[in-house]
Amino acid sequence: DDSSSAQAEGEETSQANKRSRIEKDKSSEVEASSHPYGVKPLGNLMFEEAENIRTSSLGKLNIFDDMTVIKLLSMLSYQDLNKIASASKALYVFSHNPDVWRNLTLETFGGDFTFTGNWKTTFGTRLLGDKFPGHVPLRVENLFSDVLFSPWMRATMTIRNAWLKRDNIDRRSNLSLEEFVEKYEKPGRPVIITDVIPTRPAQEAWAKETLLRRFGDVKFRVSATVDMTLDRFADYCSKASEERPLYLFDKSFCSSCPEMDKEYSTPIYFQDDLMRLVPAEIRPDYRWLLYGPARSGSSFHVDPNANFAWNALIWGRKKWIFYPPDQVPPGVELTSDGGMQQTEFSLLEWFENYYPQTKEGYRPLECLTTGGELLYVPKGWWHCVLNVDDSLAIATNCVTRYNLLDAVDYLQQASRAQSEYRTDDGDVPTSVIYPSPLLPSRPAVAATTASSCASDASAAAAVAA
Amino acid sequence: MRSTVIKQMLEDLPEPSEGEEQQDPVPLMDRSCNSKILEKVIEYLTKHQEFDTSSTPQEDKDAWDKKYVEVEDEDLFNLILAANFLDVKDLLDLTCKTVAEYIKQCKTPEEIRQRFNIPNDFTPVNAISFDFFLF
Repeated sequence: DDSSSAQAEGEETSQANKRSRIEKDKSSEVEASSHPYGVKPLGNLMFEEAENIRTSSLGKLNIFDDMTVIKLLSMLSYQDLNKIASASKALYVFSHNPDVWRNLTLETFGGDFTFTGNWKTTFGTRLLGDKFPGHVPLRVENLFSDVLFSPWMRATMTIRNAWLKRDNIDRRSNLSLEEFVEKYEKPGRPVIITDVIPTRPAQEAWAKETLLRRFGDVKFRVSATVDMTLDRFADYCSKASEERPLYLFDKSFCSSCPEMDKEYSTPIYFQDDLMRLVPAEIRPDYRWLLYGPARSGSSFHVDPNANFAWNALIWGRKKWIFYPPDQVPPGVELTSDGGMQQTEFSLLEWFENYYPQTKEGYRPLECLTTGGELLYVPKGWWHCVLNVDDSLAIATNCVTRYNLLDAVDYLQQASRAQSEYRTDDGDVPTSVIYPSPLLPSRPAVAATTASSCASDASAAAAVAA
Repeated sequence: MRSTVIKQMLEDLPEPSEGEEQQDPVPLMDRSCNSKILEKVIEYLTKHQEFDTSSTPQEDKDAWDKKYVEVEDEDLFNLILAANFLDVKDLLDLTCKTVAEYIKQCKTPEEIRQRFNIPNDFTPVNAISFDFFLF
């Protein structure tokens, strides 16, 4: 069975990923001793008879909270970062925060790097090749910090089964178009369709090894900010264990890989996509290739332009949580002008801190999709997605006659106001596909404005109606 | 409104009854927000408001900013904390970049230590195994 072998492959890969897999247990002493630089959680201060070395070791900089220290360090060149790392123990540990070196790597080299297991050695190797002297982490004692500790812990702990168990979205096969429209599209209910992604040839032609052989040196957009070859990105996926991994999210895959475009077809339920009547050059972005390692994903959002979406998972596993349009998910704030406010914390942090709330109060719809399953995401619904294993999917936004008027309304409003959701070039903003707050938010490419696209598209859509 | 924190606090205040003006004070609770620092923040906000309305050229803005941050460390650091607390992004970036610049001006780790009163708390054993500062 192809989907279960893909799943097993996914599981193998994700297990190979984890260098220090730790089940979270009550005794944080076990975890604390394992942090590569010796950092311990802040809570440990309560029962350890120790002082936090940061008080003395940061000197005047001790006035700053952890995040501000990291913000300062992230503004330095690598030479200055190395200098300040040599100043004191606390500065050494802060200066080796992986986010800082990831940011440096992406800003300096874009997607042109080979991930070596940690970002500092990745940067150093890319910069100096063989001449890079290597990096052996020094463990420091009595440095307590949640800002330094928790991301590492979330990066290495396994995704909990408790988060994956609830699965209450309809799964359908042999679904007629009429029944889909009446039961799911018109009332706006999510559904998983299990028999539209053919086992062959799509899943074979797009199996990971096959894709690498066919398109390994093709560049794709990653985390809305850099372009990486598929080879390098797959390599990164196999080696990286991050709280907020990079995520390949590419809207141009059909032009960079025209064969892929021919190898899949839109399921009958979505063929009446009226947006295809909008000229290609002004149509808002509508289809993406999604490839991400375990822990990558999208934080809570509503798809823009009142479109609905379908997400075809080729291989891997995705955990989905859905809240209906009038129910803001826990932990999500709306800005005062009604715009969407992305949560500042990572998906994993959301699961840790807010998932328990899904058991009392409002119960969301949830599912775990596996390779071969296609999910319909109705318009206006809040959703977040967590890749549980390395996953490959295609996502498409559409408009049929049943959401056309809403889409036209939305576009007409968007053309008058600056859209908060879209970046200038219409790509999915990094705040949705949740990389580190330190990541640069703008890709290097020039852009056309979303609002001019929106006004053109709304005019065209009105004509189409 | 450049401070999203103040904006939020203002929005959270109850509506004044008819005919009355908004009387409720906005509590700013953070040790960095003493009156001296708050005045300095307001100075920044007011000036940049002027810049926006009169389309000041960038170089003039930069020159003003440069003079604005020529203050003692204690005030500069409290400004960073205040800008962070009040969520004034431009001011936070400006003040942090200033400190980054001070770090950059130090040629060696020892100079950094002296600049910011940082002790050299590495043990001799640590020093042997260090690989930093080699690139």
